Amino acid sequence: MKGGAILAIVVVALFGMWGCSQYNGLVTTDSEVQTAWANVQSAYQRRADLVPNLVSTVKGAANFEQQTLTQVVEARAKATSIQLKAEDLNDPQKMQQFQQAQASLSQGLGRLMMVAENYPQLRATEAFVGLQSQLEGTENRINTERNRYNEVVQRYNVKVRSFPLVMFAGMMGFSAKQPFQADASAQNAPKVQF
Amino acid sequence: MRYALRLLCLLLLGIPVYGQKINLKSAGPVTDAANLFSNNEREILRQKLNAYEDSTSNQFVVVTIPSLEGMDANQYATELGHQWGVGTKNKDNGVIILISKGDRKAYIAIGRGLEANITDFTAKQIVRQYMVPAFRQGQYFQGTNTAVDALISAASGAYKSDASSSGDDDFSGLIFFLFILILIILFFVVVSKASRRNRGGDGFGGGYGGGPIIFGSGWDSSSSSSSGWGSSGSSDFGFGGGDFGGGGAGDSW
Repeated sequence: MKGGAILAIVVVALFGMWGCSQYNGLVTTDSEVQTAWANVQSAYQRRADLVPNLVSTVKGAANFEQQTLTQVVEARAKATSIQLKAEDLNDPQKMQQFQQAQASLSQGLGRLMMVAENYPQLRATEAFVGLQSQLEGTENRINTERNRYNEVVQRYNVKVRSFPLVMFAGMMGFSAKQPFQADASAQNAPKVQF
Repeated sequence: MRYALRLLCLLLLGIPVYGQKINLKSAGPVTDAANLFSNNEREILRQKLNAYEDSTSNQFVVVTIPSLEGMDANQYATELGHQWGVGTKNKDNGVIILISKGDRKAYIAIGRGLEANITDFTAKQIVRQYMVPAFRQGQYFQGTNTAVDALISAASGAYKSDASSSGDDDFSGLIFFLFILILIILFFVVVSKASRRNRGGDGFGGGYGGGPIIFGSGWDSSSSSSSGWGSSGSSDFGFGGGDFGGGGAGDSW
C-alpha cells in the first residue's frame, strides 16, 4: 500500500518534471521566435530609413518622374504605420496586412530603381551608387531574416501542434504562429537590376 | 521490437525540419572546392588568414565552388557562414569571400559584427575594384589576395583578439543540471528513508536507484534536441559560431 503510494508520487513527480522540461522547451522556442521577429522588423526598418535618402537623391536628378516618387513615399508611410507586435504573430490577418504593406514598398522601390535606369547622370553619382548597394544589402537582410524567422516558426509550430504539447499548449497561452508567405505580388514585381 | 520503439519515439518527438542546407565541407580558412589556386597559393592565403585571425580574432574565409547550385550568391554565402559559424560567437566577426567559378560570380558576406566596419558599399567596391578585373583575366589568386588585403585594412581596429575563450554557457548549463540531479537524488534518499522507517526497511531503496539516472539521460537528450539542432549546425572545422545577417555585396565577372 505504502509502496504503491510512493510509486504514484514518483510517477507524478517524474511526469511533472518532464512536463516542465517540455514547457521550458516551448518557452525557449517562443522567445527564439520573438528574437527572429525583432530581427525581421529591424531589417524592414533599415529599409524604411533608407527611403528618405534615396528619394532626396533621386529628386536631385533633373525632372525625375514624380509619380514613382510619390508612390514610394506613400508606400513607406503605410509600411511604417503598420507595426506588428510579437504577441500578434498568431493573427493571420494582421500578418497579411503587414506583409502587404511591406510588399507594396518593395514594389515601389523596384519601380523606382527601374525608372532610375533611364537617368544616366543620376546613376553615375556616387551618392546613388552608394544608396543602390545599401538598398541591395537591405533587401538581402530582409530575405535572410524572413527565412530565419520562418525556420524558427516552423520549429515552434511543430512543437505546439504535436502530441503531447498540443493538449496543453493552448491552455498555457501558446498558439501556432504565422510564417511569411511568398507573396503573389512579389512574383510579378519588377526585378531590381543592379 | 527495439527498432519499432525507437521509430515510435522519433514520431512522437517530431522530426526537426531543416532549412536549405549547403553540402560543403570546410577545409579551414581556404576551401578551394573549385580548384582555382595552386597548392602554394592556397598555403599563402591560409597562412595570411590564420595569422590575421590570431592577431584580431576575425575569421576571414575564402571559399571557391564550382557552382551556386541555383542559389543566390548572397543567399549561398550567408547560409554558409551561418551554417559553419564563421567568426566568434559573441562578436560575429566572420567574413566569407565566395567565388563561384561556374556562375562567374564573386560575393563577400560580412558577419553581423563587422557590418559597421565593412559596409555593403565597401564590399561592393572591393569586389569591383580587385576581384572582377583580375578574375576576368583568370588571375584568381591575384584578385583574391588583394581583396583579402583590402578587407583586412577595412576591418582594422574592429576587434582585438582576447585570450579568454568563452565556454560559460555550457558550464552554467552543466551546473544547473548537476543541481537538479542532486535535488532528485536527495528526494529519493528522503523518500526511501521514510519508507524504510515506516516499513522496517527492505529492498526498495536499491530498486529506486535507477530512477534518477534514467530520468537524467532522458531529460538531457530532450533538452539538447530542442536547442542544439536546426539553428546552428556544427562545422567540420573549428569555427567560433559567428552569425551572418545577409550583409555584404558581390558582382559577376
